[in-house]
Amino acid sequence: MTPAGPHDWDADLDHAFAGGQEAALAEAYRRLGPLVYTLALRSLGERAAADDVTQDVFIRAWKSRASYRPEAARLPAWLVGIARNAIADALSARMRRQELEHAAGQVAGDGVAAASPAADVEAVADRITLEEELERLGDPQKAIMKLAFYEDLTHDQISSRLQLPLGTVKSHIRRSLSRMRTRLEVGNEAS
Amino acid sequence: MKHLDDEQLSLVALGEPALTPAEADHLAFCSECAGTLTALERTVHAATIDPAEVELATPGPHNWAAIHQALGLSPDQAKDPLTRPGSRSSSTTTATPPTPLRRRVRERRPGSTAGRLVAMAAAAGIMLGAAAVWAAYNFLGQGPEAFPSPTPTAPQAVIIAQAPLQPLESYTANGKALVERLPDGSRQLVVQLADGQVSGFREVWVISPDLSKLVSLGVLDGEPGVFAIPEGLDLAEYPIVDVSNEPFDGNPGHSSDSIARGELAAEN
Repeated sequence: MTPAGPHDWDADLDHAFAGGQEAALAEAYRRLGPLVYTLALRSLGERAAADDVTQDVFIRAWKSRASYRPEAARLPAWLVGIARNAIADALSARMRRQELEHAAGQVAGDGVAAASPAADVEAVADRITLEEELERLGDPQKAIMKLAFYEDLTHDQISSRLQLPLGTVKSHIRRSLSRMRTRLEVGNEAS
Repeated sequence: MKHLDDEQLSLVALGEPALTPAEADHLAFCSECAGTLTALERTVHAATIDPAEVELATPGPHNWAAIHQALGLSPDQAKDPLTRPGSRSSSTTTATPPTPLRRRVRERRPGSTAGRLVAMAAAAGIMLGAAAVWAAYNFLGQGPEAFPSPTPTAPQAVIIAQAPLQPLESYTANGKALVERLPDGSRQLVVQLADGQVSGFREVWVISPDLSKLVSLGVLDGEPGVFAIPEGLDLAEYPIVDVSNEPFDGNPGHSSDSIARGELAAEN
């Protein structure tokens, strides 16, 4: 099962979703349901809890579709944001519950372990967030980072490919990477 | 020494060997710089991860049923989108992420065991010099002139590591891999493996000890095969040389069908 990131996400889907077309919700679920579910399963360790979060995310998303603005964010990034919030909510609810259960001598959790390392699942979700950030960079930053990330070019090669001074390329790389790093750290802490 | 600037660390996080030995030493001992680098590397990792390589769990059909019911969706959306006909195939055909064309090659923390291993190997190799090269060429059953060398005369290559290649599972060919350092400081991997019957083509990889990371060095065609080792590639991180049988399926990943494999040991 392959999750879809914005790179192959049709912008029409964003608008269809915002416009209330149920088929767009179904498509979003097909493309992102497994990622949302796996993130939740990894964080919460219980299938039942992951089920609850998955349902919650798509129910929340559909109900608040009026506040979703396709021009501000692609749907995958928006959904990942909702998923992170829902997981954080579930974790804090559980913490409160466990304090009570702990007092009563009970322990929760069915010890589920999914196939992929948690870090990689997180990274896939992060990639969706970062692709969003990448789109916002504007050129030439966006072009520079795409060449560095996806064509594996060195700053030297990027400089000659885009005919930009070496120093400019280096400083764009530093600023863009730092901005993406901040986006991840702020985004993940806020959720 | 002053801290490394963020520009350098950004380039290192992207896999560029942007540090002098002194800077690399600083990085090995400075937790502040190393912390920044780790955060930047994590960002690069997330930006470049191939979603297709991460296996995800599939939510059960009761999830969509619950969503469908809670939102009062129309009956024609009742079927779980994850099990609708054609959904899998369309997912695999459209999900072609712009992942790096080749695995990003990274070398850092040269103060680590890895760096020292290579440094020791290089020192030992330099002392042995040309005699070792000659012996190795003879071992491979090839004169120096048989090597496709970048210059008309055979370079004064120094062997810094080697690995016996042993057949896996259904294969029988034994072989050998050598890492050589050329006078200009570049390294190359020389792979000698009898050209047995394979259904596809042979590809040469270097792999980490836990087999979790791998770098493709190229297609092995004829023998021996000579492959440039990228400057930034730390062989101590990727000590296993692997030759695989790759089908012509357009999938750039390792087929999991290895013909022969061996672990590099520093030459001394």
